[in-house]
Amino acid sequence: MTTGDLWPTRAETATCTWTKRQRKRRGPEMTDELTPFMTLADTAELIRTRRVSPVEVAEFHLARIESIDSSINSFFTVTADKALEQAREAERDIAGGNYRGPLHGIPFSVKDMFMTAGVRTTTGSFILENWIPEFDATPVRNLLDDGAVLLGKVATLECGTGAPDEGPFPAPRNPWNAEYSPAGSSNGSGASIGAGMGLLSLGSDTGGSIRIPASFAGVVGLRGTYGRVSRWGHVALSWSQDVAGPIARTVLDTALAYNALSGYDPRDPASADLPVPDFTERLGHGVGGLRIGVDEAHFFDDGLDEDVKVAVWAALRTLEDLGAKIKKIDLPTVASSHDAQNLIHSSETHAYHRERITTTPEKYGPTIRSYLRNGALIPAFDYLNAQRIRNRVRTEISRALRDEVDIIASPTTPRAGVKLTDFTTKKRMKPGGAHLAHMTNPFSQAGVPAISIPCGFSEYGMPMGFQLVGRAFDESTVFQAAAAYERETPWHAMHPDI
Amino acid sequence: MMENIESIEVFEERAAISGLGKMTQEDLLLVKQYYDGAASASARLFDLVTLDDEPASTFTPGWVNPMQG
Repeated sequence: MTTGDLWPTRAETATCTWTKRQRKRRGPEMTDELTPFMTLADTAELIRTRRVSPVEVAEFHLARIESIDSSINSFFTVTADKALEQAREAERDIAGGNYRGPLHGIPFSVKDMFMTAGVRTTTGSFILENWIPEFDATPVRNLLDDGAVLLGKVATLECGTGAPDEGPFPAPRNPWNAEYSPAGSSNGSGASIGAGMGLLSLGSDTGGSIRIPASFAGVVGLRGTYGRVSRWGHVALSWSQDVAGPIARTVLDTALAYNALSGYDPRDPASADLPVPDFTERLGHGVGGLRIGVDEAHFFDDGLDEDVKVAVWAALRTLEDLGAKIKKIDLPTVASSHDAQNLIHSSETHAYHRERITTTPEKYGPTIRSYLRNGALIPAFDYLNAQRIRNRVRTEISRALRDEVDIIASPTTPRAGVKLTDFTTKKRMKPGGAHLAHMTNPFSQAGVPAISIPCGFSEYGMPMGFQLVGRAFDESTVFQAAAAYERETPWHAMHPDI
Repeated sequence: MMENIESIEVFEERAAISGLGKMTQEDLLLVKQYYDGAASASARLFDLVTLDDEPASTFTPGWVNPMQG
């Protein structure tokens, strides 16, 4: 299926071929077909119909990174030469009639937690500052095999959970307001896509690290079902919860990326050997008859900002107007998911980093160093108790999704945006209703798919996100509901003035 | 359930037994902040857990069975 089979795009389907001479004459600044916030799907259509070449697209995005990323700090490493080489290869393939699909020639970035062959993979830490892996992580390889073009490696919190500014790089800033953080841990993915640098970014999500930065950047982020996308080649954070997934501008873009990312990989012990559907297939189906569950006690409690509450209820009303049935549900144990997360995350992260944190602790920043050390002090029975409670959280969510509703909805975060000065790990780890991952943690623990889509702006002008959660391996219904909402609302088409 | 540790000296001793080696006082206090948060979480979960609760098995086919739950 091509993107043209789905929704109308700005690109006409007229056929023409580009030539080297045309490309040289036009250059990135003169490519009037391309705009900074164009979607992946629209760009793919321009490439497919040969109105722009992959080289033009790569040059356009590299020029944008060059011109604006010094104020955003989203890229750790820009792989300009490699990108242009891959783009030229894509151009040759397409000219030769070997169009591979909607990711062919599409520029993407990768959170610096994923290994990339020949490109340094730092995890945002001095501990791996100069590490150059010899192979690509499976999700990176999947995107490259579909002809996507690697622009570079984008920011992560140190080792996926530390501070944003205690490693070798400056803290990324939110493209909507430089005083705000894009949160984390896929902060570079959210910030770069929000700023129109690249069309797709590969992130990873343990307790909310795809959905939270997507929400704060006003873009779409999907944490798929645990086991759907291989994590082979991802530097682990918390094995039992880590998931790789896409951040992009729209639901369609995210679904196109997820098509490429999904599939069985025997090198990841949690990888699911299940058929992968075409996730774009049901995007136009609407929400008529879908039952959407809301647990007000946990997701609309006192810790929620009024702006967010109003925006998410408005989003639910939109879905109701489109034919969905909104139903109250009760998930009593999700209130304990943050406590379970605290113990599981700390223990697993310590286990992964044990050797380095005990032999070269000075190479870690103070925040992550303290956090990793704490993991050594959690007894096994506390880790297991946390897993027992997590199992209850998972069971409650799975039962609600099996017996009562098709989708669970909630805000993505309790507030819209967080100032850079407030974004310290110490503050993020504070238990309670205002914790940034309050809404996302329970679904990470349940292993079910969850998407964040834009649903408005706060009174201080920061984007807000709306989370839709589905049954395990039923990402299609999640995409279906998200696409229906997106079609009815303008938020995904808004972008920062940058 | 994790123990509440008030004394920084006792905490330092516990950290050393756990293989964390010598730390600066500043680092020790930072680790203790995390520890205190984890100990509170542990106490709340201890009150909640029952004999019927089994731990989640994360790397078995059951984990990825959409019908489980």
